Amino acid sequence: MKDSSGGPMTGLAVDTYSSFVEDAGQRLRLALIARYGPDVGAEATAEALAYGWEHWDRLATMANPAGYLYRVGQSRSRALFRTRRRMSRRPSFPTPSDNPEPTIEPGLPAALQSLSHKQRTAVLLVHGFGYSVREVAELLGVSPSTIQRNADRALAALRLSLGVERVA
Amino acid sequence: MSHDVLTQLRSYAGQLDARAPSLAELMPPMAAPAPPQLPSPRRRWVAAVVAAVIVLALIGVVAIGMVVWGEEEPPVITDPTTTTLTTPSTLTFPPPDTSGAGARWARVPHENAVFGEERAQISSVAFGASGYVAVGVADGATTVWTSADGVTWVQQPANSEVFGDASEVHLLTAADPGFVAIGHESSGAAAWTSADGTSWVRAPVDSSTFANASIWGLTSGSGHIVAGGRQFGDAAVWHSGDGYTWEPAMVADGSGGSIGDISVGGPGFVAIGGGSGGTPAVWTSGDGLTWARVATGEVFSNTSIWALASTSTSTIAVGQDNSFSEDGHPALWASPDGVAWTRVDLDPDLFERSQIWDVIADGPGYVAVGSRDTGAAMWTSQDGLTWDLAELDPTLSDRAVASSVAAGPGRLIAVGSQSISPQVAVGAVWVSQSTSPEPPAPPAPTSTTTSTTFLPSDGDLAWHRIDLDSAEVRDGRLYDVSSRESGLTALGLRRESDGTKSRLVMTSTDGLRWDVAAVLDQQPVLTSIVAGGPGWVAGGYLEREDGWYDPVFAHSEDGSDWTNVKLDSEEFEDSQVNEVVAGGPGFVAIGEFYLDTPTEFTYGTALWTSPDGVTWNREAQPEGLDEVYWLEPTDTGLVAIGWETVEDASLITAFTSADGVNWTQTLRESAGAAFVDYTEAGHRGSEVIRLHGARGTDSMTVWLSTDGSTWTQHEAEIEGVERMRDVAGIGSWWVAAGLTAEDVPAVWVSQDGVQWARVPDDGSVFGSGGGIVEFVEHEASLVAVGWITDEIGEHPTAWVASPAG
Repeated sequence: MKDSSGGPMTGLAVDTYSSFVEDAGQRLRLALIARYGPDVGAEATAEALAYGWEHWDRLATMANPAGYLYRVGQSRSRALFRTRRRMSRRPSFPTPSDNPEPTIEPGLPAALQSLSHKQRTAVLLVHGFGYSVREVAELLGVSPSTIQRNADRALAALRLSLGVERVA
Repeated sequence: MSHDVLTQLRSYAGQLDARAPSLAELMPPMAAPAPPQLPSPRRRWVAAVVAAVIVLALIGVVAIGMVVWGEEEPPVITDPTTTTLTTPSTLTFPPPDTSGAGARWARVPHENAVFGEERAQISSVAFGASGYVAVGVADGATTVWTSADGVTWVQQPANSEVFGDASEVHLLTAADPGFVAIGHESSGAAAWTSADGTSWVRAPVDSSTFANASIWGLTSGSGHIVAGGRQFGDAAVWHSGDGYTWEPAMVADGSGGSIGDISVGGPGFVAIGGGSGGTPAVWTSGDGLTWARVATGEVFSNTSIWALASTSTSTIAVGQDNSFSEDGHPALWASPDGVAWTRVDLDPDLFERSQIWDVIADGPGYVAVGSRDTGAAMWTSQDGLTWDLAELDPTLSDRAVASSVAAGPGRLIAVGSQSISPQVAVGAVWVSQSTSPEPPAPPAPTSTTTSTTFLPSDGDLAWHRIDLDSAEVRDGRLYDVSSRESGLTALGLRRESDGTKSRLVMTSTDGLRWDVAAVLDQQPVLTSIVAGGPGWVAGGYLEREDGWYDPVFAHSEDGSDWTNVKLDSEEFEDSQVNEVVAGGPGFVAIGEFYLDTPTEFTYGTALWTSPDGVTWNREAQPEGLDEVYWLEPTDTGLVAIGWETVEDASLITAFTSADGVNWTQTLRESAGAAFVDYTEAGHRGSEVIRLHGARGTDSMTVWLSTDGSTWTQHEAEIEGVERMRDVAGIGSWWVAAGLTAEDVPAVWVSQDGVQWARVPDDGSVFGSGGGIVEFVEHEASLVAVGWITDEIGEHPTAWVASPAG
């Protein structure tokens, strides 16, 4: 395979891209899943990673290649949404499983879907997947305070929607 | 007890993570398009030659110990004791392929149980008296497949007692007694024979015959079965009269060399491979017993050659040009006699980033198989000098490699494998027509026009199916159609041999006879067509290099010559036209836009109007006209139907307009709790119907209106529906087309829009794959377009439904 300059990919490129993916790939994947749901999110991730590999010689010089690939995933998702144009185009979040025990309100997926994509992405990445506010801010290209604010508002909206009281 | 939100989020996030493919599964292949995990015999031969050269250079002559073969008779397994596994025989051939033998290939449908689901590769295929036999590996075990017709394959039961610890049975030829197979095992090479591919006997050669041997070429002719390869560091050939008893042949100037392939040709037999130091070499023999090296000069310099085939008038060899730093530069030579060779110039467009792994003669010409960066590839030539790239469905051959090809009566069969993931490869079989006579034909598929009638209540509709395959269009679809007094025009696509799609325009005066009016470039993508203005007007989009879309309109007077009008999008906006209708000031078009700024991502409905189909104006999106996908030009004006998303609810919406600019909302109701998987809308005079439903249920919600303004909701049960693709009205009927849960095309009819009956069909009218995607009313009939899918591919198709009698 050749890089974007037309030259052959080197083993070094494989190593550095592999390291990048090891470091940031999961975060990218989960961010796109949080934003678009597991199906479209996974497809957008695959598209972004393929783009990243193809253009790694250029991305490797960027300060925030993960953030760039997140935006690539966003633009790629448009193509995925186009194929769904005649259906309700909400990101699709699956019904929660009861295995091993029911801990999730059945209304949680719908409540997540009803959030703005910024709030949903922030609350899932920070409180669902356990990333720090700083890590999420870097990936999404916004300030940590924006992430904190979106996550807080999302939590409040979810609690209201689910009628769940905060555990003291 | 209700768990707090944080706990729920953590749990649910874990489920989302588990549900989506893992990061490893989403990673792209970080190498050149790769052959399957199990290297093909050719590549292994090339690697072995290189390794042998290195070994010789380092340590000189290598002495190899011998293994004593046991005295007992080899076991003979004659009665399979386990159930054989078959593929469904559903492949049918289209009308005679005028494009030439081997020009189009179909992939035999994959079945894990037959072709493996983990580590599988089909290495070699041959045609004999009993039919086709293939050998290779499936799920790690030596495997044999048989087929009477090349379409339906049986995976023979594993035969470890016969094949022993053979790591790779990779060569096959048809010969008296039936079939001969060659493989490798720890001690060297081994051979097996079979009458029909189902039961095999190991050739009881003595300990020295195949000791430390690797065999890569196998052929039969003139009463001899001849195998070539390498033994004890030298090029070696063996011959046999029955595949059971083998003797070494005399090979001149084979020291340090190796034979990669052998073919009948030249003075009797021709072999190619490598000489000492890995330099390409050619040998010939009159009888297969004594071989002489051919002086080839510089014609093979800096190359590797590994496959060979001969017609009655020529021999060709294929391999690779090693002057490049990476694979993917095939080389090909031709010879009238196996002695004098000429390098053939290959069209780089057809062979770029390709590898040819096998070649055979098919009548007076040749067929070669291998791979390209897009997947499996096949090429044909009538003379070995000029080649064409064959057509095959790229979606079925992506990351696949064709390793071997054989010719049978009327059929060409290629085999290989397909990489599903870095750890998973499955066997693959492709079929094409050959120049040899066809076998007795199975019952012919339906004729080009078929009609049937049904009677759900009073009156009925007669359906005619028109298959539109022609020399100009064989693999493609029709997806939109429009009607005017002078006839109909349909939009579609045609798949090209290089994997691109051309835009297809077809015209008809009556819906029964169609002509190709234009074949347009892949871009812009035209999505909708309507009659009016200069003649015909179409809308769609142009995909820019950065992946963003610009809306495009096009117009034509006769359907043949088209003029595109590209509209610029706003900064950060990407938009496309989805539907164009006649109405308002002349034409109205709807589509969608995406605003993707650095801080925001939104989308909505894009709306355009035009007085003449040439000049277009972007209109402001009316409030609430959120996601409009259907535009119905009824007798009383335009009706737009779509969605509105409010908090956690989806609302179904409808709007009416006289001018296409000012819209009045007439429907805004909840779609209900159930998730909606499909929605379709249609009209019949001034009446409008909108229906939606979900997969997995026959229930459907139907909204009806006599004028687009006042709506009534109904719940309907529609037998077998999984999703609808279009609905329209004709006479007293509503007609809906869609798919069942098995992806079988189906059509339903109703008089009131609530009680629906399925049109009975055994697949002869609506097909067993593909189906109708768009209706249009034309002169008291309903004309539909779509495609029929079979194992060859997709075939553009039209239907006409007319009141019977």
